[in-house]
Amino acid sequence: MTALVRWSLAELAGSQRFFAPVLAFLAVLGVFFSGPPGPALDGYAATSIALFWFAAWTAWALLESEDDTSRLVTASAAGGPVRPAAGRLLAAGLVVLGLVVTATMLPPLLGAFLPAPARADVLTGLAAGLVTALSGIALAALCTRPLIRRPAPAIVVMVLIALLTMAEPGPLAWVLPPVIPVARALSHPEDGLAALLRAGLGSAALSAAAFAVHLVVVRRRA
Amino acid sequence: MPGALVELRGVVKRYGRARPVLDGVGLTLAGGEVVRVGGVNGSGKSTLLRLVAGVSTASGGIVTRRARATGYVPERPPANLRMTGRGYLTRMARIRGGARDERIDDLIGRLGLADWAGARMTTMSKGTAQKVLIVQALLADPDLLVLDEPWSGLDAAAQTALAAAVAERREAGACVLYTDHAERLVGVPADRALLVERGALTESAATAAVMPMRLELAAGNGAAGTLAGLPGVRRVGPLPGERLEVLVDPGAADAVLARALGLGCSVRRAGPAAGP
Repeated sequence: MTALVRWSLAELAGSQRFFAPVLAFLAVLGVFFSGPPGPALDGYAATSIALFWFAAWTAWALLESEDDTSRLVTASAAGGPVRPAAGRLLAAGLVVLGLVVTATMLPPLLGAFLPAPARADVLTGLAAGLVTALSGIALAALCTRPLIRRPAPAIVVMVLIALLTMAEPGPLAWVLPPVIPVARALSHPEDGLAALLRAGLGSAALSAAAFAVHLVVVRRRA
Repeated sequence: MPGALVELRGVVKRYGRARPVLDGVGLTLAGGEVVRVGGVNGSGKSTLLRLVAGVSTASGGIVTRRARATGYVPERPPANLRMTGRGYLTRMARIRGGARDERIDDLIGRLGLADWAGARMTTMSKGTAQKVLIVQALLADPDLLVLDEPWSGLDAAAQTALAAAVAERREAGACVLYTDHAERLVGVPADRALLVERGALTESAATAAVMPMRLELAAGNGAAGTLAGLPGVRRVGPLPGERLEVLVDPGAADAVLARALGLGCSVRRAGPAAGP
């Protein structure tokens, strides 16, 4: 599996498809933290929402990177199409982990938080970022080949679901990624840890389901 | 069938809601045989090969694969691999569980890729990229080798090398399944010929005759006698202009070519002998 993950990362690096989402994410971080310094958890609330969007974009770029013919060859080397697909998901996780660590560590290093954040605040921000970024990867996994073959419909569906996630419509909230609850938990620290834990469990469950659907469809539609 | 590398029973393959590309196909492939698949464009040859190679899943029916390692060459090379040929081969070898540099070097040499191994795949001609794919398919000494129109874009020397590699795999007990539009067997000794037509698979008469490779050489002094005595050489005859025609078994073509070059011959043409 390590070889497959490295293959996906090399393929992504060669394609340079990571460049636009990563650059845009850094620009957004710059906009967020260009004003006067503020409380750390408020800042992490904003970055956790941004991480959901940019994790989805970056993961989608990676999951879409390898062309169909190349996938056939990789599948023949790996003994079938499922292991390469799992490798792509893990590679997306690694790339997005880089975004999460950047979003967590860069603001305090640049002095964007006042007062200087305690270690617990940084860890809370890291956990929040991981939860929303995981949701972003899961969303991308549902909006990529072979589930949705053409890029334009895939992007439209992904953006619509992301917008719905932001709107948090009551009846659908339980099937949507818990991104706003994470941001709310950071902004209302009185019951923040419990809410963050609930959101984390929800995100893990939804993501596991999304990844399972992705792999099953890869196997069936190969 | 016990000992079969691949068995397809009642296999159906459809893409989306369209009518099936393959419908109720049955096929058994055993080790040590070379099988050619024919059929018109869009008949389902490539789909059949993907199912056999295990890179595609049947919509219905049963596919049983017992192959230890599968080498697969698709109909056309990937379009956007922004890495060198050697980098690609090393990564594919790792995915297969072992990066053996000497094996990669050997195959690169045999396919005449040495000058291109360091070039980016996106800068390669179709034929050169095809050679890289053939090398990756042979990396693991596969017991199932699936080649989708592998000759397309290959130069004569590479065709000879591929034919020799196919013959070697068969000698080693592997099954080789390939598609080819040409009626002749391009130097590869096919044991069976299959035809895909309107979603069905039919078996043609056995084609056991081994098609020789034909080498056309600008002869060095005394080359004819030496070449005639080499194993696998069927016939050496003169051609106008101090040239020689050598008909040789595909498995011996590499060795005969190397010997001819050593004798000072230069290769004018190398490729399959014309069919009967």
